[in-house]
Amino acid sequence: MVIEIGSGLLGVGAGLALGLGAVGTGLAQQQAIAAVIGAIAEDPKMFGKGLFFVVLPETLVIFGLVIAIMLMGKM
Amino acid sequence: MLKPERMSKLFVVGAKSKLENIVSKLQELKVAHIVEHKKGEFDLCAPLKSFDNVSRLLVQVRSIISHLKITIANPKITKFSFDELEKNTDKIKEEVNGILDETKKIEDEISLLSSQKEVLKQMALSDLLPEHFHKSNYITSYFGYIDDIDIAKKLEKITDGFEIKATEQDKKILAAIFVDSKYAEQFDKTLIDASFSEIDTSPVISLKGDAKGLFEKILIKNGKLEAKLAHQKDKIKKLANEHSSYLADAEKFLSAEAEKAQVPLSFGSTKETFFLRCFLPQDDVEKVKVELMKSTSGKLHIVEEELGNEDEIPIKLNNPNQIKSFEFFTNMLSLPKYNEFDPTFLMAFTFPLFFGFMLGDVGYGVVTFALFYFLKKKIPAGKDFFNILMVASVGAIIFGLIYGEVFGYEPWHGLIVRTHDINILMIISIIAGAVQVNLGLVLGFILVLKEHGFLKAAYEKLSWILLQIAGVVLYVSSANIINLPIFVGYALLALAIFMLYKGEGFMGIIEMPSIVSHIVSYARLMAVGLASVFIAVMVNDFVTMLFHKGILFMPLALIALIAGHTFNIALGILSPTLHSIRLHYVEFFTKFYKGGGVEYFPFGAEKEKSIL
Repeated sequence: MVIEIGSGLLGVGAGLALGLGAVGTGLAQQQAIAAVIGAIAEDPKMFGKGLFFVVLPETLVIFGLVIAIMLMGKM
Repeated sequence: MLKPERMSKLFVVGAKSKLENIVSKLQELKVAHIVEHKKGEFDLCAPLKSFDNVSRLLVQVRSIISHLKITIANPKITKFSFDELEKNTDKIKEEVNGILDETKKIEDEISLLSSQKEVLKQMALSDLLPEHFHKSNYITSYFGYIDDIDIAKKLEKITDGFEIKATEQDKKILAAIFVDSKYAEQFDKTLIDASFSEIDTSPVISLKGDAKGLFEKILIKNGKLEAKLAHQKDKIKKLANEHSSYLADAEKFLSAEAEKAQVPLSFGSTKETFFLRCFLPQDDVEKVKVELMKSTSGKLHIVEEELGNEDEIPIKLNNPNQIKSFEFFTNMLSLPKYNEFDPTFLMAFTFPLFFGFMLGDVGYGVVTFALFYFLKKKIPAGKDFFNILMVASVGAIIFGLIYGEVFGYEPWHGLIVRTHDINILMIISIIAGAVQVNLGLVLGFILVLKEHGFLKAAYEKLSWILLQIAGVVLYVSSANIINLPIFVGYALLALAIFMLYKGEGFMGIIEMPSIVSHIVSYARLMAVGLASVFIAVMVNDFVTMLFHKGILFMPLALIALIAGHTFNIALGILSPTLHSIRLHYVEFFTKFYKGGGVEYFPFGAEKEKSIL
């Protein structure tokens, strides 16, 4: 199978977009989750609000995926 | 339906002689959310006269219940007379105390025996008798373990008038030392320095005979006492069985009475009158007025007060029974304020839709439906949550039919084939996002419009919609899809930015990209779904590969099939639920919802159990 350098780079780009997005989400979530678990331990009613803050950074990885799919479409 | 139940505020004034009637009536009606009176110009009202009596009885009953270790799930509502209750609880208490005293005595004896046993065991090792350690004014005795082998030499330096009997036990020396009491002080010091660990002989000094024989006797005695103790425990159990329902009912009755007796502490009072404020649903006002009047034969003054801005109006969500379960989500985040929209209704529609769009598999839908049906029967406290997920599972089945997917296989060609039509899925997701985000903005617009007028509402909410329109116009005119001068788009954009600045200040301008990110965020509808379908396909491919390898691999294929799909179903419940909730909480609610309402909790009602 011969792959042109252009599509190869597109593939790398797509991978980076998704992977780095996921890393960013992870970095952001680790702190949010730690804090939220502390808050829920104090008051279980914080569960809903806590969930709200924990899932906020997930958008990053979704953006990564959107970009990846757009790049894959160009291959 | 879109707003919490409409409330009224009543101000009730009456003579103190009627206090008890009013309180009883309010407790019976179970609709009045009583506002606590803050001590200021007027004093707090005193609790009902029965308070002392009731709380004393309640403490007594609860203490008996805890001693008897009674747990009754659903006590009946029964009426008791106080005299009879007092008589009965006294009787039960006496019985319980009798048994407990006896038990305590036996337990003390057993603990004494066990310490005697320990000492005697050591004495038997060194052939000593308990009577050797009798208290005496002339001789001081020591018994215990010591590490120092040269202890005898050290003690000789003080006096040679002492006896030592040492035996080696487990690499330690068990020593009994007897000395003239006048050297006791010096011996104490030397022994402490030599880290002597003393065995307390006091439990056995009253015993006579040789240690081994005594040890045997104690074992027998101990056995008898254990049997006695077991008998006492049986008695307690029997007593618990006999009285459990009576005590549980009494506890319920007394709790309610105690609640009733102390509720006047939330009222205000003057010398001869009391007054209270309460919130209740508008529909109940007339009934409550009539009932209260009747209970005091008209000697009461009730005024319906206007709801003020500073009032903390309690929130009672008001949804039809079919979607009542979805209030779970609203409760989980935060109750709406009185004037806000109750988002339950909107969520009841879109949550299953999003969940179904993501999971979208007939097989998985059926499995999760069955699972949640089972869990609902098993865990009644979580019934709301499981109801929601059952509805969501139906959504998954419907979308499964559209996608043509059963456990990742495609038995028929669906309208949308998820493994190929990724772009279509993404477009649908983003359109769904645009619709929901703008719906949120419109709801926000209506709220601000009612409270602050059109201009403020337009600046705060319409500006965001205009921003999106400007973006679209700019795109279509620059890509030549529609022949439109490009400055139209820029003019709209400028207007939108101006309005945004007026509405939300500088922060609004900084946050401008968020409208895009909120809408694109809905692409997760596609992303989570794709992850689910690809895992399913992967599992199936792997299993097919194993299947073709020959009959020996069949069991392995079966295990892989079950394990793979179980894992995917677990993920398929977790991710779509969380992501669907998140889309509502973060992208949708932030446009119109602040929350922070206080729960409507009428006096006399019982708190419902929930898994949260």
